[in-house]
Amino acid sequence: MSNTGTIFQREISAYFLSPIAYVVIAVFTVFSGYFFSVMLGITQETTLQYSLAYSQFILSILAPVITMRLLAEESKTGTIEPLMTAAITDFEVVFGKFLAAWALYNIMIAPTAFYIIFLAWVGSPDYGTIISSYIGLVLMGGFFISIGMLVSAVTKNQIVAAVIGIVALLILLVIGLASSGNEGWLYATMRYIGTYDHWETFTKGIIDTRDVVYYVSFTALLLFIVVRIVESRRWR
Amino acid sequence: MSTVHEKNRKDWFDLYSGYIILAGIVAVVAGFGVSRIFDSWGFSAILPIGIGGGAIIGLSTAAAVRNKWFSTEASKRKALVGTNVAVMSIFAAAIFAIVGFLNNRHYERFDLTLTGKYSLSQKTENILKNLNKPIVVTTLFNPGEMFYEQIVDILKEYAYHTDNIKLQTIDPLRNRTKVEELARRLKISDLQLNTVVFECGEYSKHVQQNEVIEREYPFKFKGEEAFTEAILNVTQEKQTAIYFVTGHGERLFEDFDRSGISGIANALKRDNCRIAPVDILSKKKIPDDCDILVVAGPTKPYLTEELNIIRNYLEGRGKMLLLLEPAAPPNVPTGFRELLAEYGIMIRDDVVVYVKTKMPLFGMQTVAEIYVGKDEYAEHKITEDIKNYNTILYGAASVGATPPNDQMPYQATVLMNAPDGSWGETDVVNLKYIKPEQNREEDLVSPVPLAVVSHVKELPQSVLKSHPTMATDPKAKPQGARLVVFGDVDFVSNEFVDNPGNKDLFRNSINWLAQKEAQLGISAKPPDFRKAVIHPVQIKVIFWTTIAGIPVIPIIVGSIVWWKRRR
Repeated sequence: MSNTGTIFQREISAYFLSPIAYVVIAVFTVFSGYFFSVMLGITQETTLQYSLAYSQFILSILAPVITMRLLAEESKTGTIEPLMTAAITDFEVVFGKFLAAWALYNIMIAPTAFYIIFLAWVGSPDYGTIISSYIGLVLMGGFFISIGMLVSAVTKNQIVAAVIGIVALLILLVIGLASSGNEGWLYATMRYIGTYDHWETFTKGIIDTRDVVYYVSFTALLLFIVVRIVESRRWR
Repeated sequence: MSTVHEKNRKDWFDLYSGYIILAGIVAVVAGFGVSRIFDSWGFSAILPIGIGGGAIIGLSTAAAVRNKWFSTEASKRKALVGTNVAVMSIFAAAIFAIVGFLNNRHYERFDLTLTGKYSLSQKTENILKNLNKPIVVTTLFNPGEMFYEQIVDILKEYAYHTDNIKLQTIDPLRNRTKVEELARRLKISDLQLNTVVFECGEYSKHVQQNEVIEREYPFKFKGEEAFTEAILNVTQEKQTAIYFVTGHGERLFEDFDRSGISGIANALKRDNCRIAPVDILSKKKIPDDCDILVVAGPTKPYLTEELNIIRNYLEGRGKMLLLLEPAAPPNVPTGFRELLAEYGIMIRDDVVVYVKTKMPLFGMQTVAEIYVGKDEYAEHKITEDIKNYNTILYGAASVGATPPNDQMPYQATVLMNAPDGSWGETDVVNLKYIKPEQNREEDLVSPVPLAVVSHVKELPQSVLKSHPTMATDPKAKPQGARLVVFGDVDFVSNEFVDNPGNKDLFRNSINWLAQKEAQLGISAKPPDFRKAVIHPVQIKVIFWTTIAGIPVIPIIVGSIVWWKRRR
């Protein structure tokens, strides 16, 4: 198994051998289930668009909870030192941890697939819109996890990492919302950086390469910075 | 002494430099905020940014020197590593920005919806592919408006298919300055809200909300048809030239008073029409570039010479919109009777009386307003979109169509009638003094026509059967004059033009005369709301399963794991 696979296995085991994975999944399913059933009752529309729009808030809170311990805890407990001296690259460490957190994120959103069964039970949903929404959810998850990892890399305290991560994601959400409907380069930049517009397009049933590239490139950029931060520790 | 002084200075720096740097950051942010609020980089924005930025750089440098950040080997290495991370991060961010920029210019969109909700028709795609002029599309919608999102989404699809469309949105409630700026640029005094403005060079076309939504419930979205037509309109080399005849007491399009018709003139300008006055008698001809001649409520008779000029114009396939009034003062006809008769149109010297309500004590009351509703519109391209709206006429004369005549090349058809119970009162002289009573021998009895259209007859069925290709060949179709005649002008005056159907009836008439009636054939899309039929039991099952049933699974699994590890 490659080094990345080993790190991945170690991290995913750590998640599922501690209560964190189960708590996160349970919390998410309660909230997303509430939004789903309430929005279905109100709108009477066989779509996930409205319930997923609300779920973005919950994901902004839960993604940093998933990532908060990834690097912060290792720095605090000193377990990162053996990792730094092992025959393993910084990229493999960071990427393995990222994949583990992203996997947990995807396992967390997987139960929402039950909602599609409910939608089919009461009407005929537009499966194209649902597929594009899930593609968006998965890509957005990678982006959220990478932000959480960046914060975890620059702090030593898990709680601080979680709080900063949540604030950062909510800011990204808010600047996207605040810039909607405004003109000018500043608002256009804010709209591009903010997550709202990119995510909304997926929920409508459109796959736009601008949104895909936004999520993928932002995730890659943040992971690159995380690798550089981890690498810098060798030389301090 | 010097030691004490040095200690004091150090204390001051250590105590306050952090706060000053923080204040500097606040000043920079505030300056930036001021620049965005006032939309300029004036003194009030530059000053705090300059002072704040100076304080941050100056004090940070001083702190680095004082604390010897670069003096020891360890601190040097730490600083270098930090700088290395920062520089590489900035470098990566620059690459990210370039990728984002390029991606914004060259992108692909895939519509995964089952009904192709965001996909354009092949017809529109072909038009966009051949578009060779830049068009600025501005949405002037309150974001809460019906179909707003769908309008913006489909316009994004237009922008995706061609680089020649630039899309911009203005929230009219939050950005009045930009609305006013746009109105100035378009030279329009009243820019209507909840419209989409298409601009191409000096031409512009406004698509209003009611043109985008099919009015019958369930509402359908016909944005593609309206927007594609607007693109065709603004990219046309030639605007529709409309001349308003003056010199006989006609309503003036420069008149902003209640009786003027400046409102409808603005609506025509929004439809990419060019309007101008024409005095037939002094010019001795109708201008060569005239696409439509409008005679808006003359109160004085036309001379025979003028009528002959109009006759010549019509014979050369001219188009005319005539808005008449009841003969007032009585027995002063405008002189159009004979001319219009050549096109199968009959005008009378009467006033349409409409018995509207039964008032307690006063009995049935006649009113000047004539409400034309769904049942009173005839089947015609002009009226098909406005049948759910009333047109309100105010003091109209009846205008009828002569029965079909084999000798006449023109066919006149009634466009709309007054409601049942109305009649054409011929005793106009005494109308002001006595309550009108229907005289079945002299007055025109219901149905009373209020507007008529006339155009050259279609090819007979026998000809089309023997030559089927002629049915679809536009060149084979008979060409000739087109006329629309209304028995009222007040319905388009500034006072009444904002009634629900009035403006659209007039605009549709103009479009029909200009032969711009929608021929795109892009059908309206149903909203595709995908409604569910949910029984109360079903929603209870869904609610409890989603908020309690599904979440309990990870809790049970987590508890088992915890229990096993505990042992």
